[in-house]
This record gives sequence, C-alpha cells and structure tokens, in this order.
Amino acid sequence: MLRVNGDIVKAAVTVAAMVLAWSVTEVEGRNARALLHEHVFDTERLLDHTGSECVGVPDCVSVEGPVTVLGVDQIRVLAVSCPDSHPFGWHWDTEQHEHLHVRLVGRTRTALTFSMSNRADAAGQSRIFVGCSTQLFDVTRSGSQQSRSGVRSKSQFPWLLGGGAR
Amino acid sequence: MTAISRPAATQLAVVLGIVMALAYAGAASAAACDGVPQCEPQTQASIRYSAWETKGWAYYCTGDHPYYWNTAQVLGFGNNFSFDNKCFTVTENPFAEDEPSKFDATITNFCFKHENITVTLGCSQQSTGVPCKNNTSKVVKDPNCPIVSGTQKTFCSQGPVPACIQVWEEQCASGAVYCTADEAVIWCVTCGP
Repeated sequence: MLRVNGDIVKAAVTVAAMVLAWSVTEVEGRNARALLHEHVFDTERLLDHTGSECVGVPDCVSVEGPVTVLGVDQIRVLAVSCPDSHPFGWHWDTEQHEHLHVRLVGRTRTALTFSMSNRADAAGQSRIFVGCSTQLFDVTRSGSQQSRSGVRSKSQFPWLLGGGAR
Repeated sequence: MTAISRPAATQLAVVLGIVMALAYAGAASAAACDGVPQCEPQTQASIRYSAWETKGWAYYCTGDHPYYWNTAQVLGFGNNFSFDNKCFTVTENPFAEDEPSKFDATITNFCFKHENITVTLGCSQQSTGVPCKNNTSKVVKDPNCPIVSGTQKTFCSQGPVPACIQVWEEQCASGAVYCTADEAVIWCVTCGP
C-alpha cells in the first residue's frame, strides 16, 4: 500500500500555493505587495474588544487608551499606564481595524508600550485596553499576548464575513 | 504559465492554506506530553478571538515542571502542546523560544464567529539538555554530590518581574545528576529506569 509522508504533502501544498501566488502576479503584471494591500484586506472590518485584558487578572480594572488613527504607511508607538489604585499592568486587548497590526514592544511594572502599524491602503483606527491590577504581573503564570491583527478577509468569503463582521 | 483569474486563484490559495492549516492542526492535536519525560500538562487561560483574527502569545511552563520541550525534528515546529478548538491553527515560533520555559505561537481563528481557545503545554521536570538515552530518567532528591565546575546557570524570564530557575550538574559515584532550583524547590534528574 502506498504511504505518503505527511511532511512531503505539506511541503507540496506549500509550493503549490507559492506557485499559484506567483502566477497571479505574473498574469496581472503588477506588484504583488500592491495587490495584497488593495484587494486582500477588508479595511472596513473591525475586530471588536473581547475583554481579554482582564482574563485571569486578580482585582482587575480595564484602562482604555486613546483612539489612535493611522494613515497609510504610518507606524505609531503608544504607552498605556495603569492608575495608582491598580498600578500593575497585566494583559491587553484592542478594538481595531483588520488591517492594523498592534504589537506589545515593552513592559514596565506600571505601563505597557505598543507599536501600531497600518498594512493596507486605507486609514484605520485602534483603541488599546490594558488590564491593571493591585498585584504584580507574573509572566510565567499567565503568559503574555504579543500581538493582534486580522486575517486578510476581503474577497475570500464576503457573504459570510461581510463588512464589520464580528 | 496558465492564466488564472485572480479571484479564482486567490480563493484556491485560501483553500490550500486551510488544508495546510488543518494538517498542522492535526499534528498539534496529539497529547501535550507525548514523548516528554517527567511531564505534566499545564493548561493556560481560555482566550476569546474574533472571526478571522490572529494573536501572538507566549506561554510558560511553571512550578516544579518549568521546562517546555520542543521535540520536533523538522524545522523546530513541535507538537508538545494541544488546544481544544478546531477553528484554530496554532503555529509554533521556535526562534522566539529563547528561554527554557517559553512556548511561543501565532494563533488564528479561521471560523466565521467568535471562538475561545485553551492551550495546554507539555511541561517537564527534566531539562531538554539532560542527555538520557531513550527518555529513561527518574526524579530524585538533591544528593548533594560535588557540583561539576561550569555547569551552574541561571535562566530568567524577561520583563519587569523576572522569574528565575537555576540549574547545575552534580557528579555522584553512581553517575551524573542534573538539578534544578525553582522558587526555593530543588529536585534532580538521573538517567536510567
């Protein structure tokens, strides 16, 4: 009986996908990055705030950062600090457009610092929420979220996701 | 090159991607402790995701089982973790696993609605650096044999409140013993049944 190594199958599928992507660029005769930006992100879709900033956080209050608007090709860095009553920063969450990439880039005991970048050809906005506690953050017991972004959804299954799908 | 319309090609690429994702998901659905000696599963908090959303997460083994094992032989993409929701792909980032306790992954919800995921790590009392053949080892109390020079090391998690573990090797008459101190608890591992 023929047996097929699973890794070989995965490699073959990967190569097929790469060839397919290259063929699209070849047929269109256009820059691949521009195609991704223009046609793959749904720049209207919002990823909603799921409340993850306080999951597993003792005595937690949620602190909202300001709404940040990012123009095309913009990158911004923002720090969100915890209040004196709940001084220690733990987890975080956002409300943001699908085409923004938000990343945790630094942490002190009382503040978290983020970078936000825009990966499409339209402006987008993000609001960051930080879970603040009266107890010190312990990364080994709770883990640490590093980033959040949307999967490129435009033109894939528009009848299911639609604009602003949650 | 055969001409393919872009929408058709894009959707085909997505289907292929999902096939790949499911293949990896299948690989990752094995028990977290498969192939890991002196192992216990450590379950992390359940996290909620929006539809078609990706998050990067770092999780850590802790307590008296502080070592995360990655036993993969191909490109470091291991499967000593499991998760409880087939809507997700969990792709390990081995190059970001720069501490002995750390598991790093990119986690994506491919379903069309909110979903929760709970990740479980296979966590060991035995460092991946302990050279026991065939994974045969046992955990013992510290025999307090002479410490082998140059084997004492301290590993700390990054961040404002680092958590540290210390490791060292002792040379006993019966052979080498590999010890760990974590949060004032000390244990050692020796090779053999």
